[in-house]
Amino acid sequence: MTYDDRVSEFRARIGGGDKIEAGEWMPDEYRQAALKFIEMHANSEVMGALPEREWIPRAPSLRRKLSLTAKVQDEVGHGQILYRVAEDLGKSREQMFDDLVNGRTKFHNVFHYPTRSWGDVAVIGWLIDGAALVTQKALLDASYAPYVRAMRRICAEESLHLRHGEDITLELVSGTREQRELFQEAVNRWWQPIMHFFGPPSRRDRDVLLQWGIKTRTNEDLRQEFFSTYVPKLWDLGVSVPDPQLAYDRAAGAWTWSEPDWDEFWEVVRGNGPMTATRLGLRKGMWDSHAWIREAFAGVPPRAAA
Amino acid sequence: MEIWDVLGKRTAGDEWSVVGAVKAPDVHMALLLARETHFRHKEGVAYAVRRRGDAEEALTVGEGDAATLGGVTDRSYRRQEAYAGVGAKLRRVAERIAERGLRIDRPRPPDLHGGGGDP
Amino acid sequence: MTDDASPRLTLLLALADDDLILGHRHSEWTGWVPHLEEDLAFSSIAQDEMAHARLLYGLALDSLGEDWDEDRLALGRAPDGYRNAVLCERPNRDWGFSLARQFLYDTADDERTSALMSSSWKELVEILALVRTEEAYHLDHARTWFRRLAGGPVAAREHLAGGLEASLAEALAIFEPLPAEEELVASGVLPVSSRELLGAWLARVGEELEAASLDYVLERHAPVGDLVPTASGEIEETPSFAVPGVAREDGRWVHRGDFAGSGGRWGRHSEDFTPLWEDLTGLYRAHPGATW
Repeated sequence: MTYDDRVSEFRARIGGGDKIEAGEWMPDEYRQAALKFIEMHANSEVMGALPEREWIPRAPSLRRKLSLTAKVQDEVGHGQILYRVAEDLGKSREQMFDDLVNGRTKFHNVFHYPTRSWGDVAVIGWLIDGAALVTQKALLDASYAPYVRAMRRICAEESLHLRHGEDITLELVSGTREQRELFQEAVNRWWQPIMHFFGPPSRRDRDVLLQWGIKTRTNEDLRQEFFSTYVPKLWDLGVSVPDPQLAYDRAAGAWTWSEPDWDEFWEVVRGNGPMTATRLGLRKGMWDSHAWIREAFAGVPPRAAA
Repeated sequence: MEIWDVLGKRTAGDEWSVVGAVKAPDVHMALLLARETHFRHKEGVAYAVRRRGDAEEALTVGEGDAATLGGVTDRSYRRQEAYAGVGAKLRRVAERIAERGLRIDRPRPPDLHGGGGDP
Repeated sequence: MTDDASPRLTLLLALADDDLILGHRHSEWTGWVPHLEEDLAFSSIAQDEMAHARLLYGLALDSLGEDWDEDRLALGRAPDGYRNAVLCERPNRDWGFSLARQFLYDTADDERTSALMSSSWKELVEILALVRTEEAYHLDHARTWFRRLAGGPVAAREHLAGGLEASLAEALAIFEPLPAEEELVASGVLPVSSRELLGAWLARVGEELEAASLDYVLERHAPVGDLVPTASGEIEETPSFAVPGVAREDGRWVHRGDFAGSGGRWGRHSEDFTPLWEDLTGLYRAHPGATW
């Protein structure tokens, strides 16, 4: 059978809803696309831990200090799960980490922005995790089975994070005037990065990831679902969204919205976000200064204590 | 550094099943790490590791049981049950905000989720 | 509140504040530990310490007025109201330091909670039974890492030894005698004195370090009779606080001389405490009465 024949057969399988396992034959293009997508997802989990972990030391109650620690722990856990899936597609975790901290691979734009207050913890925990859950649920139907299994566990934990974020938000919006302002101000600052999160409008016929079944829904679909889920709730809580064009068109059955600054989007994709260099620098510093641990792990087992 | 498959039993009567994997330099470290990577949310009553590539029965079982795996002190801050009332809380808060005249009353899609529940 | 604290409250605050402040430092590693799976393990240890503090604060609230709750206790005191040992407040340095500190602290905690299981204070014993169940994992963690690093390449041994050296003197101060110690011992609340606990801990740590050929760390601690670096790390002319020296006698490590002055158990902290306190308590204190 020629390579092209095998690829056609593979496409037909995916088209028919078949799932691909780790050890199976796959076209080089599929392996590359899946690896790159999953690697970026893993990178995003570990880079996403950095803005949130800033608030663990400063949490305003003992219970939130514990819950935020557990939440960030889970994000690292998601990274661990996803790097394992990516490793089985043929790239070592050490290489992936090295590429990440040296700026050769990417992580989601939304994690290139600074945090300024506890309001950000609420926005990240509710709206951004909400946006992530919308996209991650779509991945439950992906063609690559190990990724689907990872996503099941991740989505279950993210659902908990979402409620946690919602709980933090509700305390703020039902609290003092200063607390309400903390949340509104954070929403105003994070709205554009959230719009960027879903990516520019994509076309089914041009989206390679959609064609391979690694992604299953368009960017615009996912953005619309996000609006429908969260904007009514924000409005019910008396929180405005800083987009004067955002409106639900009943006739069209869809939201209209104003395009965010796509130039900024591409700048951040290129690695020039406000916190990109700082955060990668922190990770690289830790990675480089702790090579001795990797050495210690590579060695022979220690002798048992006398 | 090696890859160690992590196995668990959800309930005492189950067979071992693979739940994930950890990277560790030896079996002691693998067990130490597997406990918290895969069982900190009370996902099982027993755990074990097996070096990738070893025979199926070459498990090393970890210490700890249903009572101790996942901790014994209050972990409610990271469990679903503690946040079960959040949907209802949102509705109550929304009502109070509406009473204060702060609700933003603009056209919205029909409520698909049965009133403020989770997506 | 701490000035006229009862002996029992004094003991509780020492135990709970150690756990809270060290848990706070441990939690500062969450998200960037050099090995991914270890990030998860160490975060669980951090959460355990803070959860243990929470349980102990809960017991303390039984004897405090209605205007106290767990958050006010954990996040609402002035700096000199916190009774943790200075070791706990030091910022993390590299992984070798934090791991060494975890090892020294959790072995010390094991000695004192083991002794306290015979306390005349039954409610405390109940709490510590739970705490000790989780601490078993902390000891396993410390031991496993200790063996891997101590038995590893030179760089690993050096980082571990560096961490031990940097934290040893202040680890002794975990056993600084408590305010009201005499009363606590007389009433059976504290079945074993701080001095005796120090002796037991030092002998045990000495054995482990010798087994790993790291006992030179102990030798570098001030010899018999000399004063050692104070809480600030400086050797002062007239130190405000000094810990005993150590020596090897009859095949075991013992302490020599006494504590002098007053340290963490009396609310006297290092220069590292203020920035920690500002982080820990700032947002809570900025919005009095708010719920989060």
